Amino acid sequence: MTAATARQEPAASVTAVATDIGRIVEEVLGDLSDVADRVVAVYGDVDAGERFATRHLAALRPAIDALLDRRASLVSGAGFIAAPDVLDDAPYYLEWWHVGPQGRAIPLRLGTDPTAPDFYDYTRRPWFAEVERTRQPKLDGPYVDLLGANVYTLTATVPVAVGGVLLGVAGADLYLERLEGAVLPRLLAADLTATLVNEVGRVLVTSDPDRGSGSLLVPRTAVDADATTGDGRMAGDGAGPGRPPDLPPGLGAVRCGGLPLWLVAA
Amino acid sequence: MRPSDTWDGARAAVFAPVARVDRVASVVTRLTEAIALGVLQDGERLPSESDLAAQFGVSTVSLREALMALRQQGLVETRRGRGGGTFVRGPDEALDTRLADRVLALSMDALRDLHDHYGAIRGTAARLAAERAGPADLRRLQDALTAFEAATEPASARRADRFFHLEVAAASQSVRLTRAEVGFQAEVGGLLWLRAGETDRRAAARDHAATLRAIARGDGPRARRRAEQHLATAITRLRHLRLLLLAERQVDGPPPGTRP
Repeated sequence: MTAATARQEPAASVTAVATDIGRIVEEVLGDLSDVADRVVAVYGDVDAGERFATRHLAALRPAIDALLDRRASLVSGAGFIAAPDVLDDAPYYLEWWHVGPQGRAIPLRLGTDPTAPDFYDYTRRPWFAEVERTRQPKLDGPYVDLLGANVYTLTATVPVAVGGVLLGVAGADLYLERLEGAVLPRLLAADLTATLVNEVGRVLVTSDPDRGSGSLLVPRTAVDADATTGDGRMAGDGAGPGRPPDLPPGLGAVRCGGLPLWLVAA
Repeated sequence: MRPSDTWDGARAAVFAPVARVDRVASVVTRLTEAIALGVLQDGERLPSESDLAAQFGVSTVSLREALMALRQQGLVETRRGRGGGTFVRGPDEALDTRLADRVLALSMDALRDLHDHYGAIRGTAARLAAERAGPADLRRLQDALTAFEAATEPASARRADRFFHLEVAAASQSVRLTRAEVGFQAEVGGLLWLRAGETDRRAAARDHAATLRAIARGDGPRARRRAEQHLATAITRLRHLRLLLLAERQVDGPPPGTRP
């Protein structure tokens, strides 16, 4: 095989499936934008003389329930997470609901009192901190989530802002198993041996039996720990937001829409 | 959703059903470990007796017996009236006696088997973390190490140590290994810090830094070895301590009401 033919265009089916995967996740982000709009509307409706407070967030329930209902096969929990000190009566707050075993939405109770031993500072998590910084949607993970669920999950978030001020983020949890349930049948239907990876090259879903989820598509090379950049990226780690993960030459990677997800054919 | 400074998974593991056999002792052990590790903190109010009984899966009678034992050990206190309830107390001497009893109750053989089991868990978690950690995982590990190095007194040091091990497990990308680490800490974590001093803490900080370096470098075998060595150091110290406690008990004689 010559060098010219070695690097081929990805098969039409890879592009088609990648586009499809992109659409699936974009739909969730679209729903999150709707929740964000609802938060902004509720915020705007607060009477003059009153301050935006936790009691106003009850008005978000219909939008959150609609998301959980519409995306039931993909999303396990969703809601609004306030930026610090935005709400009058709570410096930190989550209006978050997840679907319980009987199919009913259950509120998530996390420690939001900064002085209490169970305080959970969510502002340092990428799904909050990066959105705060970039004001762009974020697909965080997958990561091991210990908060009662003991599950490997992604968290999608979008900013909620008014006049340049961040009110918080609207977010949804996507268990990796559920994303697999949406993606793997599409790979099999297209007769593709392919792997879906995120921006650090981590395998999310694959129809390649030699690969497992959670691992990195390209093994990490030994790097000098002192060579980390200021933001913690490793020297030699070509991945980063917006840039595709480093891949062996000849291996095409098709991006899934505008998302930090790439489909790599074996 | 996941915690950065607290691990609700660890708290959830505390307030989960206990073994059916010897329920009172199981509840006492579970709460003692949680207090020893700082999962439950000094001054914290415990859930109501009926809530606790429900969560542990025991009768309220058994729960009250367990709380009475913990009160006698000085690990909890009950206040009546408004703002009342059962509160955690962490005076080191009471805790130390309770933990010392547990160390003595653990045979050398049981300790060896625990070492086999959790060495496998921690070693593999470290190796997988080295193979799989991304920049975000490494940042969290570095934060956990920094917090441990900065901890000045025993309670915060134990807490920070706990978090570091949990972050290594989470960096492995394995829910099962992370759950196993939570279980290990619940079962024996407090014992590993019994009578630990500044020297032990500094050695642990060096161990953790070495493990993190291996993980950051993507060196799986080295990360595994470092994690196993750290545990081996802790188990060896526990063996020394157990022999010392056995000798102490010989000198003082057995506690009243127990057989020699």
